[in-house]
Amino acid sequence: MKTVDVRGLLCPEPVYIVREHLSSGTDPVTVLCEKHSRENLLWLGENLGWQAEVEDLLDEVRIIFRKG
Amino acid sequence: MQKKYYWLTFLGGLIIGGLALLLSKYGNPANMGVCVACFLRDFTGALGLHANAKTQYLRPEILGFVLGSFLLAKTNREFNPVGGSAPVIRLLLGIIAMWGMLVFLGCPLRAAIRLGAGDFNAIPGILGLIAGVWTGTLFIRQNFTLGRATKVPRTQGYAFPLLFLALTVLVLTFPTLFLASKEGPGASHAPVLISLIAGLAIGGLAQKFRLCMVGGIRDFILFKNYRLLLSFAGVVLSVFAGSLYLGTFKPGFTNQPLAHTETLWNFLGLYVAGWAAVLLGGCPLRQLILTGEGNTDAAITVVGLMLGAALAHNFGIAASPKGVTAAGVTGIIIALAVLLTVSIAFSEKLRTVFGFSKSSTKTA
Repeated sequence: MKTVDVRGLLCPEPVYIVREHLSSGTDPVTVLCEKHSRENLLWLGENLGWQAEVEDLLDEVRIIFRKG
Repeated sequence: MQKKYYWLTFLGGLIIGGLALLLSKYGNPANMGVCVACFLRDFTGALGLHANAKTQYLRPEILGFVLGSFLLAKTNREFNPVGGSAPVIRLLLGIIAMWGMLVFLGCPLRAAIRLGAGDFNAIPGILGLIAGVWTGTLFIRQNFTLGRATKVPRTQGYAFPLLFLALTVLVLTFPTLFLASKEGPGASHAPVLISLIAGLAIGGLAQKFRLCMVGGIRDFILFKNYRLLLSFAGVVLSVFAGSLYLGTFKPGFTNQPLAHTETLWNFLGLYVAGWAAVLLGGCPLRQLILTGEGNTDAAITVVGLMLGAALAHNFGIAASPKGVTAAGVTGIIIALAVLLTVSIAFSEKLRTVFGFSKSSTKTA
């Protein structure tokens, strides 16, 4: 499974990077991000037609995107 | 969930606009109920770091922005100390972003407030902001990055919020410790507690909804996501409606409070600020909010903004209602040169073409 780590990056970089991965044909895509990027990444996934499974960790969030 | 979040973001903008009007009614300068750039400049002056006697006041709103964000982030377990993403470059970008804003006379948030209150000089400013953000996104598309921040010891994340807490205690107990203007914009201010509470509310709102006055334009250009634009629109709308209600709405270009009519420099001032804010990952308000969340790079950016304000007033870069100075023009030219250099040097697809070091700032 592909994991994309966008922790430590400020907007718009996380969305920009994850968008490239969601467009690359891999499925599923796991994303590790900081909490401030969560809503923007969920918006991106929904907008591109992906299902998202969100897991809140201590200081970060893991989102697993699956093509619906 | 998305729809509700969009509406709440819009509501956040409306509330901030309303609070700005309220603060002006209670004594803050007209069309400057809230302005992060102006307030940081007054803050810098209050600490004696610049010599302009008219712009010195330890604005409690600034303390409130950071502490409101800090308290909410702690409550929501979003306090996460990180750092190490090109702090020196961020310091530099903070300095020149402030120069741009002080040539326009306001941050992106004040641009929205000025527009809502009928100051048409904000229009070239906002057009400049859009153009600057667009320029910044060109480099994002070339993989611009200042590199990844990593976790730092929690003490580092606490340092700035606690410093601001200490300043809050001092301003409430020994206000005479700080310099305070007797005339000019620095002398116009709401009572300390009202300013502090409004600041805390805005800080909390901005933390919760990740509000950023530059992010709206940026996300729309890059992703066609208009959520943050709604907060900008909310500010403009509530200031517009509130000014009409209060009878303070005054449409036009001339005789606007704390503004000048030099279109080109209004445009270029916020052009610089918008471009710098894209590279920094957020507008000045957002930098204060991130500081409250424990981001030490944002804290350094805030120091840069303050240093920029000090330099702008000590060297005459800041504009005044009379217009822009020769030093201000020079400041903008320097700022543009710095922005272009940093943008190219940190864009992964461009840096080697222009002969900058090949070594990547990205760790993964």
